[in-house]
Amino acid sequence: MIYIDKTPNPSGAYPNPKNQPFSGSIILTDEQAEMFFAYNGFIIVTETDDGVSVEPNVEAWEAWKAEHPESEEEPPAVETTVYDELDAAYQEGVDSV
Amino acid sequence: MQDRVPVNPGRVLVTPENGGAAYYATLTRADNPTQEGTPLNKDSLLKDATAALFGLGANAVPDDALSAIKTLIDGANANANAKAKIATGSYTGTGTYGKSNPNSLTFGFVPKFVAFSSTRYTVHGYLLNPGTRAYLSGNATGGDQTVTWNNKTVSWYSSDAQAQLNFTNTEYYYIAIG
Repeated sequence: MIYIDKTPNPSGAYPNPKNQPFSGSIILTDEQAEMFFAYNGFIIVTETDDGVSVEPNVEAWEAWKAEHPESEEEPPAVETTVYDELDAAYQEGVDSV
Repeated sequence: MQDRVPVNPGRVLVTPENGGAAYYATLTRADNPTQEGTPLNKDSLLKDATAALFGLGANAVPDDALSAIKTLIDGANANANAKAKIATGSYTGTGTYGKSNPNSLTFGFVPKFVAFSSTRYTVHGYLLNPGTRAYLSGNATGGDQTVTWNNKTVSWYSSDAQAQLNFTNTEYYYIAIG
């Protein structure tokens, strides 16, 4: 379950979803949250009697992706590898005592 | 509060409606209670020691005490509202960034300071009200932020998702003081 702002950003995407409720927030179920993250927050939210329904805002999402083709580059994992080697060296030293 | 102190306990003056002479009588309960019940008197409604807790004298009645409670509650609320407040929480990044995709956080109070952390990346920087410029970095990428403070909401954006602390599916933790 996540909590999103009632109003989307000017781009059509909803801002960073929070993991706790806040004033004016809308609740999305886990299933709706999956769609939310799959489309980077580009969804259309419709209020219903039971809560809200969501659907992808595909047009806005595609337009955003076209403008930001490299926005999802994963940073290099070098830092983690260094820590693993340091950890192994430390453990070897401890075990040798 | 004062209890009634009769010289003739239970005595009543009966005045017949047919114009007959009035006379005294003593009324005594004879209803055979299965439980005596708590008497309504000073000892059960408002002892002097209890009235003193509210700064009231021996002549105070329960209504005075109830009124004093309201005053105390209002004072406590005002005192609490004047104290600093802290809120913590988390949000999940969506990968968007820039002026048309700001991040935002809304609190139950006006935030003055917001700091962040993440279990995935090293996060640096904080937001300080009323500064509209800040520097945040998520892992190796950092950047200037444009910050907007709007009462209980703060929003910010930067030139890429990591700098904006909005990398996809990354959980960011925050603490706010106001």
